[in-house]
Amino acid sequence: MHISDGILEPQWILFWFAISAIFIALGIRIINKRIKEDPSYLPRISLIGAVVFVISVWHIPVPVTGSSSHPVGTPLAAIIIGPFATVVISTIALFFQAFVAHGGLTTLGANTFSMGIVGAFFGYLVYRLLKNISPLWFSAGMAAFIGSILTYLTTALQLALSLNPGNVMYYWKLYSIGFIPTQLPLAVAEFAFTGYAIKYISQTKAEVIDTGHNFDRFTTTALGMMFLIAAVIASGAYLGYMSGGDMSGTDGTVEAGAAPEAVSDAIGVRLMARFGEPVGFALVGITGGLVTGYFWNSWRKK
Amino acid sequence: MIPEWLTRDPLNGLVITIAFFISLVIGRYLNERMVHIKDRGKIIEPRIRLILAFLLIIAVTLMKHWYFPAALSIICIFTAYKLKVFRDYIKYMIFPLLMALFILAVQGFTYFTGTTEPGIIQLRSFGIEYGLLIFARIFASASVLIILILSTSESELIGSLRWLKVPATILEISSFMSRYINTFSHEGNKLKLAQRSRLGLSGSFLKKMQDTAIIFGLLITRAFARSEEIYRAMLSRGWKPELRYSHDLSPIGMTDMIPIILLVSGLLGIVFLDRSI
Repeated sequence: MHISDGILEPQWILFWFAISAIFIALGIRIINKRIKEDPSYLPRISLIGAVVFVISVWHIPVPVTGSSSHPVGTPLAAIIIGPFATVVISTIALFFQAFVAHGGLTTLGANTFSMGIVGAFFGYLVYRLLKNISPLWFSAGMAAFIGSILTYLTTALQLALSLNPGNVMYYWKLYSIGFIPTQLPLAVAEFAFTGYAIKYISQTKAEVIDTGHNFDRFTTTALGMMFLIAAVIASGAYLGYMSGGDMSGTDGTVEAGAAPEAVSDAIGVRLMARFGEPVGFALVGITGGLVTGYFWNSWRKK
Repeated sequence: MIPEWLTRDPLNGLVITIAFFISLVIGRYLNERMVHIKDRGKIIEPRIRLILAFLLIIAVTLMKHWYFPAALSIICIFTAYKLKVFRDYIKYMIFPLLMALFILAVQGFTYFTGTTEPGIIQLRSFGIEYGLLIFARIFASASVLIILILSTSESELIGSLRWLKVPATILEISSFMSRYINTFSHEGNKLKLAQRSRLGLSGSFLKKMQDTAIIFGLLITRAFARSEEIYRAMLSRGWKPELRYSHDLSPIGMTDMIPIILLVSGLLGIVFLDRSI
């Protein structure tokens, strides 16, 4: 389910574009690096991208509902060409899909985030985690199942954030429940066909599947930690909400526990009041990450 | 001496005057161009069409009243009819309308504030109002996008992306993808037919999924094999990784800039009017 134009408020359009742009830039960097090493990578990734596009608009039978629907396709792509390349491919695919009225131009950032980033990265993470402890078809199938479910949960969250900012958690749950009748059976179908497809490819042309040596250890560890911490925070918040929590956030606890004497009108607080908390936290995260990353090697040497 | 009505708030009067005269100039300009161009869908340069569509959609998302997007939707329906693409327009509208109805239903039944209407099904008046606004926005945005799709080819789109300085890697991948999407789609359909004729894609759900997965797997392995052939063909034509797409395209002429300036001013006026009501 792609988000159409006209649904998201302008600030959310910009927000999702900004987040997706970071991943797209990283994806382009990785693709360029691989093209330099192996120029045949360009036609290979493009043609596989074309096939993934064809697969993602192909109707597959959906159990229970008796109808047919489109699969997400990005977990399968991530297993074959890697998650960062998948972000770039899915952005292009979503751009083309906007021109068959699936999705939209202004929602390209939001749809890239849900399908290309969340679907691909979490799917790939599940695949890598399960690959060594379960059969290949099962790990690929689970990657597709989790990737598909998380894609729709993210879409529901994007809708709730933009349309009902006053009751985000309630509407997130509501939109998620609204998607369940079609998306849960679809995720089951995606589990089955991705599992079978990867099994078939591994039996006929195993070299097609990405070996996963795209990053150095530092990048892999950093990304792994990012997804792990994000997953813990999201699951904790969701569980808290389900058990009746007031969702007041952790900033009050942090302020009281970690910095009880903090200045209440410091520049950070003023910035957050001016631009909104998410932007303030994003600025803090970007600054902290950039400084730490920049000096990481020299600190390690010392 | 001065009539009383003239001494009051001038905002609405100014807005309607500006909007009317700008539209008047645009209308005359479009009519002049229409006389010279046979293909009516192509009266505006593709790059300008893409930018205008984007700006129109942004303008629609900024609107707070349902009637402005609704008016835009009516104009789009009329345009689709005049361009003789009405059937395609309806076909493409199905998916966005489903999404719009889903949001209308969620907002209408669950909005927190607003009076609850008596009856078997409880409706929230504010929710319905907000849901209608979103519905109108989706309808208008999708209509604009569909009119753009139906009047712009893929190659024109990629050309516009070049002009918008989209990274060369994305352009190269897009060109390959747009060229091979149809090929693989056709190949996939052939494989599907072949399977059907051999009693494939029937029986239990798992059997159907297995057959579908075989088609997808075959397509992926074929894409992999074909990419090797394409790479060899590229090398034989002197391709090198350093050769990238050029962003140098012919600049947009002043005659093409006039409608963009006028339409953007008109759009700003409408958004301003919408938000000031």
